[in-house]
Amino acid sequence: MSERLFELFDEYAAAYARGERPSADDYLARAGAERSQLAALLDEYLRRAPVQPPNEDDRRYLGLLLAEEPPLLALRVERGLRVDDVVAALIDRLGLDQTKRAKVKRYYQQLEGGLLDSRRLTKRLRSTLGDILGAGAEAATAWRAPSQTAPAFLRRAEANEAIPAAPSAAPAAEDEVDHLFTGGGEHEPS
Amino acid sequence: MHDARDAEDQRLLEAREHKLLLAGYFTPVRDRCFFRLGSREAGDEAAQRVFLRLWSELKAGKTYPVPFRVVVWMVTEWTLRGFPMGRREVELPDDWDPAAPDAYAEWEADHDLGALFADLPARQRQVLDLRYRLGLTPAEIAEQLRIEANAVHQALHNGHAKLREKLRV
Repeated sequence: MSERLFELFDEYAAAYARGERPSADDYLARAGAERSQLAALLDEYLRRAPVQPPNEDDRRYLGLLLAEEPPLLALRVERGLRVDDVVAALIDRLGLDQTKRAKVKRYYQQLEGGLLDSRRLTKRLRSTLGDILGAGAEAATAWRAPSQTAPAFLRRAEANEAIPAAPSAAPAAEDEVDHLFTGGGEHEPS
Repeated sequence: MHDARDAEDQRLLEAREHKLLLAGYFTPVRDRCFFRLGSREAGDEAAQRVFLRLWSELKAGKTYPVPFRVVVWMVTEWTLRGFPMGRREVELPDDWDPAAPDAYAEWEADHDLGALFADLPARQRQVLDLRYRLGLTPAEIAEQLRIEANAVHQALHNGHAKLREKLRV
């Protein structure tokens, strides 16, 4: 085990002990080839270390995890909007081709149901969703449907909205809509 | 080492502040699931299962004869066991009995940082405690214990060796 690995462990553990929230993702990325060893060390540490008091983010994200219905759905209903209203607003504000409406709707429904990885949304899309649904949209997209209940959400969505057919196994080349919903995250320029 | 946390957890349990109780475990459970499963996506799904399980038990009025943190880590371990090798269909056992005698006997020692370093000299244990329980810097530790900086670094080195031995990393 390298000295570098222990340095990373020591830095993370001391920061956690001080009540900070060191980024686990960043530390594993910094470990490079020793990523799995660092993960094992930090797992062992967290299993044994005193648990720190929660901060605001802990409370907010836990609330999202435990939500009984998708928080994005709750935000939309709160604003008196139908799915079609949100889709129309997205197309309008993002300047998308009207013929892509069904595709935008399908992606939005997956997002609202917690079935799309929200980390892959582009910043432009996040910002536009915030404009349409309010400031809570960002946190609301982090919610995921528990795997055992996801089919129920899908069935309900299908009954209400008649979702267009899923893309074929060999999809066409990525277009702007695909990019908006799946092209964000770590590879997106800041 | 965990006395303050255990007392706070007990207070929150009695006050039925269940969300606040669980929020304290949000980051360590989420990060442990990430460390064990290797991806955020799988880790978050596992973490959500852990919290949904605990939430449903608390809402149902379940009580525990052991510190709540032990229950959290036990449920976390069970949940994670179902994830490696793609066996996501493995569910938590519904028949677990937290009131059973000795159900957690081996867990208590296995979930304490102090126990990991128990066979090191007392002064070295103090250094590790101040570093990994309170997060003090090496300079602050040296000042508080009135020892040389080299002694702090030696204690940290020995603590790391213990970890390596324990984990065979």
